[in-house]
Amino acid sequence: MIYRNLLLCALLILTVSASFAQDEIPDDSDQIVYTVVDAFGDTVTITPTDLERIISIGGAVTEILYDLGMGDNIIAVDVSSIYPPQTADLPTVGYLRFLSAEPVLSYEPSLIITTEDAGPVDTLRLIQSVGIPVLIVPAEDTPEGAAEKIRTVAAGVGKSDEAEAIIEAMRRDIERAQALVEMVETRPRVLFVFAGSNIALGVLGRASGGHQMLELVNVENAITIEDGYIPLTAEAIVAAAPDIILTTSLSVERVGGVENFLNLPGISLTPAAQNGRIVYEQMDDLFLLGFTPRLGDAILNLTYLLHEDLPRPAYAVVRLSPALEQFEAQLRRAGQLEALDIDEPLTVLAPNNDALTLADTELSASELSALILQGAIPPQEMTAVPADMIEAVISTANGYVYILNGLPE
Amino acid sequence: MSAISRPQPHETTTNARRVAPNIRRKGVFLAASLSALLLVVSLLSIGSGQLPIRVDQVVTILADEVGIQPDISFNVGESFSYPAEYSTVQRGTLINIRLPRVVLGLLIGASLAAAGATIQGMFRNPLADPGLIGISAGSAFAAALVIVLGNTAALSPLAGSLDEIGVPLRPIASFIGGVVTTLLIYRLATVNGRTSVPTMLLAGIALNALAGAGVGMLVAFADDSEIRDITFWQLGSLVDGSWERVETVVPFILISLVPMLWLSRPLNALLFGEIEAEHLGFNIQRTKQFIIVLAAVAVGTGVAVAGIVGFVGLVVPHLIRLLAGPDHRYVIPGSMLLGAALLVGADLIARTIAEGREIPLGVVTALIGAPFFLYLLLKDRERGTLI
Repeated sequence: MIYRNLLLCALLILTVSASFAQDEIPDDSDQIVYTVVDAFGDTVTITPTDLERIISIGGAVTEILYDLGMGDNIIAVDVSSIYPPQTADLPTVGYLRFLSAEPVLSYEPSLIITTEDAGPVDTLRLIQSVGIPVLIVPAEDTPEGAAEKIRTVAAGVGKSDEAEAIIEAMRRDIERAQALVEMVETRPRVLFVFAGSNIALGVLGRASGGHQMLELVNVENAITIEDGYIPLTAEAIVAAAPDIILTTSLSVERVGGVENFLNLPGISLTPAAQNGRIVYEQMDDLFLLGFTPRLGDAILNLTYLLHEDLPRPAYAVVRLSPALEQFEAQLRRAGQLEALDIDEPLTVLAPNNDALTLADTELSASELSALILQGAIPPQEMTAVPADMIEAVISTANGYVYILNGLPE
Repeated sequence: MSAISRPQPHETTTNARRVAPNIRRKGVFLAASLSALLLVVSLLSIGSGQLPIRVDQVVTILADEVGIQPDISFNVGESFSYPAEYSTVQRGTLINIRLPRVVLGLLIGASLAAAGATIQGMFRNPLADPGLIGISAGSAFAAALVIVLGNTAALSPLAGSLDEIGVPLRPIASFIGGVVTTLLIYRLATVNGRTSVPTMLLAGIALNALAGAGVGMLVAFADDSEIRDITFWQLGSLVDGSWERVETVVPFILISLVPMLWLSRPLNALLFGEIEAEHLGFNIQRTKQFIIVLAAVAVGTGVAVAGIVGFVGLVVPHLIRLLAGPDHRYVIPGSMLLGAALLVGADLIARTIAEGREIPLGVVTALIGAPFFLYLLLKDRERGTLI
């Protein structure tokens, strides 16, 4: 009997399918609601209870949510969400261009936040039809686009004030980079090599987000083709004759290390490879191409890395040195990164990653200040520091950075 | 292939009256068992998915949706009760996502298999898959063309405005591509009003290669997101199945499938050979034209919605012939039922086997179909009857 009824029901549903009305969203007019206009001009209404179980689809969106302090509310992400490292512990809903409705719904989300790069769009519409709000954020590959992305996500989760602070920090870094690149006299030719999540190595042409990044730091894209991703051909790379190769750390990992990378056909014959000019360390895909809240950071770092003739002040050295990654993270977390930005001779006793790992604690803002400012001593007095504690000395424009292999007493 | 070798004439003529009741009984048995299979697969498919919905919840949701709310309540053990409680997400998923997907699977499976059955009948060769005569490849090429060209600076305003007024550009393109390729092959292979089957098969191979080269060329110029879209088209998937899609395809599928049921007699006559069929009083040239147009509509519609889902048109008619013999009065409707069941079952695997994502439907059907294809080849290698 049950089966017969089921069959009847199924047939009935088939015939009345055309007349389905969407379920009404419950109207709690006395409650707080956040209304946002999404990338397609549609208004999305989100209530605070919708924020409890968020699925974040798109690396930039995930980063923004973490920056806004919403990380704990994320229950699943897509495979492009690779930063911050905590995302590795979350289940994934696959690749953002190959979404499927039911796997997404199986996590029982209360809100989906994604970008207009996600698809198929029909799948997002299906999820909406079930009554779950879907916020589709505009994703333009420009600094303004990155700011708009942050604003839209923040408006959806009711954190617009925090968004302005993030955008302001990003804007400051970009402005600083712009002031720097105006000073440079040469535009090095840069080849942007990229390997996507499951595609072969290729180069980024003039219609790509990567090209936007190169423009922003005032270097010449060695590729002149008006296209996005172009599969790598050896002769085209030789002909492009780049001075510097820029790529992601994952692309280098893919071919088994930087030596293998520089020996790839075509690449090995470029001036860049012959002079060992390759930039890839600390360059994750989202940092370079995601137009995320780290955009300002990325632009400023690239400015220093691609224009070797620029003088590097202490803050630039700390930013760019992989050995000081932990130190930089500590400074950033404590809001003390600006403390290095002093236009006078300065010596910094910078503890390296190992030392900070040994310390095994998060340093407070005041401890970090002490480390930077009170630890700043004239270079001639560095003789007081035991030599075996000093791992490296890096010259900077306004002093020295001593990388110590232990925390100074 | 023994299954479609010529039947001995005296068996079907002199004993016609005596075997008629047997035929009817066989037909009823085949229809009943295939319908039962289809029903079981569909129910299983409706009841399974990555979002857990229990059987009693499925029943309650369906009853509520249709508006039947019988004033009864009962419990069978702990797992089944009526009315069962369910969430709006479960109801929305079942009604707006799973059901249209199953219905779409039924429709497309039936049309791919029926197209396979009629084309195989026309070619009198069990290897004649709709993909073989270029429908699928032509469709995919047209879809890829629209995906890549629609994004170029010159054409994107046009594509955008068509999209705005609700014209589903890619499905329409893939449909037109299928019909155009098939007609092209037909013209290439028809001389003085007669279609040469070997020429048609070889022309199909050539045009398939050409369409494949075209898609490959487009991929070389496509960006990351376009490559994803083209891949979707080439591997096949029901991932964006919705009631709107069902509404769009139903008329096309009815237009192509219903007339196919009347093709069984001329196709049966064709089993004796073309000249013999003409002598039996059938207009074979007209039948061939009919089959080409109907199959192009059936497959083109399927490709438009689900991309290239291979091997259904190959495997299903063959299985029916194994079960019930070469009589097209069984092969055509039987293929529709079994094709529907196979595609719904394959889609069930595609959407449930990997957690948090789907594998393409075309991958599943190829994993089932390709070994079957090889089995056919090996089985008949010595006899050499396939080609």
